[in-house]
This record gives sequence, structure tokens and C-alpha cells, in this order.
Amino acid sequence: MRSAVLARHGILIAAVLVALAPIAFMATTSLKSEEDYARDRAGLPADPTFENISTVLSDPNLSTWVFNSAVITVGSVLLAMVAGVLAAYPIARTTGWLPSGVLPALVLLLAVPPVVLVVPLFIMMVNLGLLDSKLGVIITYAGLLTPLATYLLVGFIRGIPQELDEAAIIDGAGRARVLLYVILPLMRPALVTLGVVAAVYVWNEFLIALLFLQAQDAQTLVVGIASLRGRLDINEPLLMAWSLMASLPVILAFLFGQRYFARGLVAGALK
Amino acid sequence: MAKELAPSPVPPPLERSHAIRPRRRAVRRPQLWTIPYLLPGAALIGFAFGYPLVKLIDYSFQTRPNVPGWTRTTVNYRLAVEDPNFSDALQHNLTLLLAVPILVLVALLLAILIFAPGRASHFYRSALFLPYILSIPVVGLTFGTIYSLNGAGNETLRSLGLSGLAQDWLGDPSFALWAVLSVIIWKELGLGVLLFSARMASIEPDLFDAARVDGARWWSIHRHVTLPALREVIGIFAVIEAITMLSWVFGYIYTMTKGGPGGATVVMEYLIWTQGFAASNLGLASATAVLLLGGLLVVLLGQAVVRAVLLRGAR
Repeated sequence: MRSAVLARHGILIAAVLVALAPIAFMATTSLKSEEDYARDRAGLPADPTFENISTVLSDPNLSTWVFNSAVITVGSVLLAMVAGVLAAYPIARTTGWLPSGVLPALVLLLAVPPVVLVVPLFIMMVNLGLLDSKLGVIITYAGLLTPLATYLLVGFIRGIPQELDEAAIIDGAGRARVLLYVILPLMRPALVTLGVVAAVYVWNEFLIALLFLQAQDAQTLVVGIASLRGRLDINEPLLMAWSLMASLPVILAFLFGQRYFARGLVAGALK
Repeated sequence: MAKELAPSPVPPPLERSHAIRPRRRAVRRPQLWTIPYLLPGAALIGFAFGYPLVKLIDYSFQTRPNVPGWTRTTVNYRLAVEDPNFSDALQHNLTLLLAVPILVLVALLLAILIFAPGRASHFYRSALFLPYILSIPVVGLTFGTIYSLNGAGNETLRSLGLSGLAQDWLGDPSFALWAVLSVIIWKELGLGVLLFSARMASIEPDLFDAARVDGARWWSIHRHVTLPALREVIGIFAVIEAITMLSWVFGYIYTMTKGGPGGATVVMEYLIWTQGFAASNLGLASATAVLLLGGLLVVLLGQAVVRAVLLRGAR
């Protein structure tokens, strides 16, 4: 019995080490000087320095890219949420073709990979003059997120007793009032869950941001960092410092919003 | 905060099916009041999915999409299939599918091992989940550094006296795709552990107790209680990961290998990107994308059929 317990923890600790080692590598390497890294690539920094981190923090690109990522993330997540709430309400509160036709279609859309959409989207952006503009990618991300948002929120609204709607309607409220004053306040946990999952998706998204935001001052943080590799003044410790800076917001979002994040992914996959 | 990760998210399946079909007064007429509510979502989906999908098929039959003077043609499809990179890319994507059974088995083992009350379980689950939330390019850059010829990975091997095993992981055509595969597994594993753990948490504890009272050992408890309960979520996870391997790995390739060395890691997405944006042949890229989408549709329909058959067999 005792050896079984030891084996259990042994395997799990080994798995955790494998999961965390590359992240630890990112963090420790960012604290090494170039010489320190050349001498010892895998070990702990012999003489920890914050030079790389301060180089990153003083790089004017950082604030531009963080600002772009933040505006695009907030804008597209809010837009998808508004569209999702509005669409989910009638789908959840009716029967017939609306839920039975739309819900499977939404699931199918979740499986469409962005790479098949980017050629026509690119031509659309060029024709609309939206290349390098935040508006273009905000609408695109919001559109990509709308199926997930609607699907998750339908499931949640169905869990709210319909008697609440009916009581408000008897009191003379219209549909819009019911949604705004009865349903919406009860949806807060679902919206936080959705918001965390969607925000991490947009913050991390690569392909669309790479193609539609090409000018250096239009790029997002993730794309900006991926483009650093070829630059001459970049060495590995500095690259890892940049990577750490891009990861910190999602790691913090995970630590504080872990419960919502897990709930969103589980609901998205299992419902 | 770690303890928050646990069971609460998944309602047991029985409850769920009741929640979906409460008996309501059915109204069969088209309900006009729903239209304004559906419009914004429909417009966004039309912008991001509807119009692009229609135009994708349209462009795949044009000589020079969006350039005045284009003509109708099927030449894009012939060029797409005859491109030597096409069969290579397809083969590489299919090789990546090997990650699916590995992910399922390892995630299953870890979820079963984690499944026990206590602080340690919450820590294990959170730590294993962390890689999943990092952005793919950051993961690619980090592993690109670790896997390089004189990187931390080989240095660790050498310091363990295993210099014979040190390789140019991403620079050698015979290892590069496997190195990429290992990175994808590293990142995706946490999702499987999360989904399986959540489902396990909603299994009636009585079932485990009953099995234990009956004298069942570790293996047979999980064989007869855990596995049947997890069958559906295992299927869902496998489908999610299969779709990932076929069509969501661009970021890894772009940041780690750029399809190299010598085309050894070209995948369908990277091929579409090269054709459309590096070589500016949008018609050819559209045709390749239509073929990829068709392949995905076949996979999705195939799994739906398999699931229907399996479910019928189970009843």
C-alpha cells in the first residue's frame, strides 16, 4: 500500500517537472547574462541579472504591442459577449427549428480552422482598407468567438428557471426588459467564465494577427515577439525575457481566474 | 485558489439531459421577436465564417482571385494535388495524429493518479494545466531554444553522460517532426487531464465504494467504473485533438522550424500560408484550403458515424 502511494506521487511529480521545466527555463534564462548563458544553458543563473527584463521594459515596442493586444482582446471579447448574450436568449427560450438547427451548426463552426478562412478574409481586409487596423481583427475575432459564446450561454440560460421570465412578463415587462433585468444579472458567472477563456484565446492568437497586422506598430505582443527571432540584437536570454513578458498576463489570469477558466473549457467541451 | 479547479464545473450527465428538455409549451410558429436578437451574432458569424467560406470556394476556381481579368479554372486543384509538398504536408499532419492516442493514454493515467481528495491533487492538476494556457509562439520560441544543437536539452543530456543521445533536434530532418510532436503533446496534455478529472469528479462515489467492497483491485476498479464513465469525454477529447493535429499547428511550425529542414515539417496550414502569402498565389492556396476543409469534414462525419454505432452497441 505504502509503495503504491509513493509510486503515485513519484509519477505525478515527474509529470509536473516535465510540465514546468520549460517554463522554469524561460524564467531562469531571462535572468542570465549572455556570457552566463553561453557558459551554462540549463542550470540556474550563476549571477542573476535583471538586465534583460529592463531592456524589454524600456523597449518602446513593448508598450505599443501590449496596448494593441489589450485593445484587441477587450474589444473583441466584449463584442462577442454582446452578440452571444443577445443570440443565446431566444435560442434558449424557444423550441423547434431555432435551437435544433442553430446549435449543431455552431458546433460545426467551432471545428472550422482559421487557416481556411484567412485567404478570403485577407482579400476582404484589403478591399475594406482594414489591413493593419485594430477594427478589422476585432470584428474577425468577435466573429470567430460568437459560436462558442452563444453555445455556452444557451446552456447557461437554460439552467435559469423559465418561471422567472414568466413572472416578469405577467408584471408587464417586455422581452428586452426580461433579458436586461432578470437574465443578465444572473449570468454574471457565465460571462466571467466566457470572458476569461475568450480573452486568453485572443491574447494568444497568432495566424490572423500575423497576417492582418503587419506594420510593426500595429502588431500584437505575441506576433511582435515571434518576429524578434530574426533580429540581430536579440540573444536567447533576451528572447526568453520577452517570452516571459508575454506569458505573465495569461499566467496571472490563470492563477486568479483558474476556476472560471476550467469551468469554461469543461462546459465548452462537455455540453 | 488551486482548490477551485475541482469538480464543480460539470453537472452529472443525467441532470444535464433533464435541463435541456424541460417540458415547455411548444410554439411551432416562426417567432418574429427573435430576429433582432439574432442579428448581431448572425452578422459577426457571416463576416468571419459565412462570407469567407463562400468566397474561399469561389476563389479556388479563379486564376487570379480579386485581380481584374481573372477567369474560371480548375487548374488550382490540379496544381494543389500535384504539388510535391502537398503529399508531404498531408503525411506530416497524419503523423502528428499519433499524438492523439498518446495524449489520451497519458492524460487518462495522470487523471486517474490525481483522482484523490487533498491539496496535492489540486496542485498537480493546476501545474499540469499551465502549459495549455501559454501562447503557441512563446512555446515554440522556448522549445526552439531548448532543442537547439547547443541548447539546454542537449547540455543536460551531455552532463548526464549521454552525449551520444544529443541531436540537432529541430535541424535534423529525421528528428524535426518528432521534436515538434513532443512540444504539441507537452502543451495539449493539460486539457485532457482537466477534462478527464472533471468527469471523474462527477462519478458517484458509491460506485467506487461498491467496487472496493466487492474486493476489486486498482486496475479493475478503473477498468469497470472509471473507463465506462469517461468514454464520452475521451471521445470528445480525441476529436478535439485530432482536429488540432490536422489544422491548428501553424504557430509551432512557424516559430520552430518554418517547415524545414528541407520541408521535413511542412504541414497543410504552413503550405496554405506559403502558397497564399509567401508566393502570393491566392487561388492555389484557396484550393488547398478547400481540400483541407473537405478532409476535416470527412473526419468529423466519420467520428459521428463511429460514435453512433458505438453508442448503439452499448445499449
